[in-house]
Amino acid sequence: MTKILPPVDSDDILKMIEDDDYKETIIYKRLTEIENGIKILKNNYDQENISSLITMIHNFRGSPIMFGRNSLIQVAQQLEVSLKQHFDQNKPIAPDEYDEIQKLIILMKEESLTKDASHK
Amino acid sequence: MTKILVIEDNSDNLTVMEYLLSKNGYSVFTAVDGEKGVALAKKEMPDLIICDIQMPILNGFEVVKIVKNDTKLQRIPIVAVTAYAMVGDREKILSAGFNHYMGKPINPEEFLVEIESILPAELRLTKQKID
Repeated sequence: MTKILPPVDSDDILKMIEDDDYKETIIYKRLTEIENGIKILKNNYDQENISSLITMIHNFRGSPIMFGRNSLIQVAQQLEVSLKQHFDQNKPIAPDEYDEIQKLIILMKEESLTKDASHK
Repeated sequence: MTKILVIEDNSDNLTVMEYLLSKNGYSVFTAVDGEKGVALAKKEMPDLIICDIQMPILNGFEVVKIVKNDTKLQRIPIVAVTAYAMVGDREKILSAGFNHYMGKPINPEEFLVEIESILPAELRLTKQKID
């Protein structure tokens, strides 16, 4: 959908830019969505599911809510690259790889609640 | 009024870029995929295009190819705003025809300064000094 908008002012947008607590909440929520995406993939590996998950992670790490969260961005990027390799090679993810990914997500969720050195 | 077209499928980024630009007086047009973006560029003839790379239907590389091969559109500066951050991506993006590259996540405090540094002086709407 395309549209022409006049100047807007929205509390939600300002929160997305300025409110650290709001950002933390959204980051945690999106990590949970990614975690759920990985569970779906584990039960039903196919190209469509892995593509959706890659897009989800790509959008997550590029979102304005992630500005200043460099360590989280780096881990998300590593995860995206790893999944992209599986997608490109159409190679299923081994059970031990799923376990590693899930551990990574748990670490990211913990880290999302901790303001790292780069967090403004 | 200076017209800026933002082509972006990530709603968070689209919302923030649209907000930052429109709040500063720019006329902002948005599209959520490359195909709609190209159509809107032809219709509105913006002064600047901000374009994501990874998008449905037409990706950013396909958009820049169409824009730079269109005699009416090719003068318009086009900025890639992307979460791609692999080695060589910047060079690949610039060599594809983009005039400028910005990484995601965008820094709200620097976004406008960077965008205005690409616009010709007469089209900038804020009074900030551009080095």
